[in-house]
Amino acid sequence: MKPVIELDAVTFCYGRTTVLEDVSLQIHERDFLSIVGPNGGGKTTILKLILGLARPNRGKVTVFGTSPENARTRIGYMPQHTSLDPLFPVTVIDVVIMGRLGTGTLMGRYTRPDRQAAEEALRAVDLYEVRNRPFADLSGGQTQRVLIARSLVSHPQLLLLDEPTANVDVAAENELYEFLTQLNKSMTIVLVTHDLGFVSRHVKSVACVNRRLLCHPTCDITGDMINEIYGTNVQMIRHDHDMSRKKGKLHD
Amino acid sequence: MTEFFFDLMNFSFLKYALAAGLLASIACGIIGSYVVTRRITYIAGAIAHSVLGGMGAARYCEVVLGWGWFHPLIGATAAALISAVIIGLVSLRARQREDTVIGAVWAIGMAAGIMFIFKTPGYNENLMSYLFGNILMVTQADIWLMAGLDLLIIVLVLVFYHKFLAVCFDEEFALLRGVRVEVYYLLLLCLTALTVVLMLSVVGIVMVIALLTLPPATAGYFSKRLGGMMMLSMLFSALFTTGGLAISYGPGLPTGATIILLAGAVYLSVVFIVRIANSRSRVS
Repeated sequence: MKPVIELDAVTFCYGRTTVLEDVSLQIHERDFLSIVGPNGGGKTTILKLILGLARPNRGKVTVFGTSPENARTRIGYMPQHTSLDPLFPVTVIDVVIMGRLGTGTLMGRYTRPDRQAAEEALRAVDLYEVRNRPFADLSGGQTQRVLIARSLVSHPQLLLLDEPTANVDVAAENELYEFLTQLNKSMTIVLVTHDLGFVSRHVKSVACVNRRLLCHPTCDITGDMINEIYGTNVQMIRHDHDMSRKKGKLHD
Repeated sequence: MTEFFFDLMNFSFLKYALAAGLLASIACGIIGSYVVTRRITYIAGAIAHSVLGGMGAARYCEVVLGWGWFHPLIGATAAALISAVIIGLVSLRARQREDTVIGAVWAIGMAAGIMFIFKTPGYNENLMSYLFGNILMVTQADIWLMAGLDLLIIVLVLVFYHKFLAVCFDEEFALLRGVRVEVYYLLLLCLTALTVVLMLSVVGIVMVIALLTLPPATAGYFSKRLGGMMMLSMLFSALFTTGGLAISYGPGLPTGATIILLAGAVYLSVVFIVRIANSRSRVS
């Protein structure tokens, strides 16, 4: 089976700093991969490479068998919401419907199907009731769900999420994972998190990134390895899931 | 102030002044809202100040070289558009030290303008009206030019409203949805440049940024959507320009400065009242 995403010996440098070195990774259809690693370890960079927002210095990135730029519109992307201006005058539905841009006509008007798709996506994340509220008034968890709705509204085949559980309480976090598990039945999901606590239960495979890639079934991760990647004091991961579908090449 | 309304009936220069203020308010409300939400006030400032270079060059060509058609407003438009494109390309392509380039365009434009004005023989009362505006000197031709620019801005924003919104709110996401972000960002900066030119005769180069940002900033407190913010900024801007004109007319105060002080006073009052209201609601 052809992989949905393929990173082939990718090296990416930001100025003189090597952010990623010789990273090879294959992600297959219906996979649910979590990329973990410390801040500054290159997790977000992997998403940006898949989206074609960053170009590798060496190596090649292929998405749906073509270049990231060509594959872009088939991907749903949820960025870290800290990159958005909290004062911007938009309502919740204004934000979600932006996910329909580029599918519309030349004049750039949204059509009735666009509006319906946005409302449907808001119902799916249980935020239909607040659709006309200012985006700025939402809680952290609601903001994350709005951004997920925006990424889903174009009916993507691949969903990329950057820190979807930042600023979300534990109950909302579990709900979010249940939701993503449902979505995973129809699309491939890659998410980035710095919090190993989540990797449990729902995801099918885990990639640890700290400049280089260490791809593992979660059950192989030992305390020593976590210490090596993160330094000390990291919450231990649960060991009770089935991680037999190993996707990446093992380095080191 | 009654004197103003009485004379308004009798003098066409006052009618033109009023019309200029209202026409500038349309562009200011629309484009100012983008400038404030996209946080490019500093870019608008650089575009505004660089305009002096274009106006000075045009005046020089008019007087020294005898190019009668080269009106200072044409020079201003050219300089504003060139600055907008330079700054836009720099901020899109070279992510670092964008502010240095903005500052350079700002200062070089002004320096070139002063040099041209110095080299232009004759009485240079124009310099002051370029810098601080002179709404009472607006001609019928200016009014038509302003109306034309307004029309262009309205049409383009109606057509590209959602794309501009997406580019201002989340440039990266817009790019991923296949929106040609660079094109729309440059177009938005060019519209900002045209708006600056439109507002020149009302408040002058130095105070353009204030009239471009204070009405939307005030409106921002009362609107939850960009479209509403634009409409409300137009209203505020119309109130400030008309009010400033009426207040300054009797005592013979500089109109541009009166408009800005009025806008500033209203903005600061709103900030103050909203703060008090917020702290009250937090206490109760």
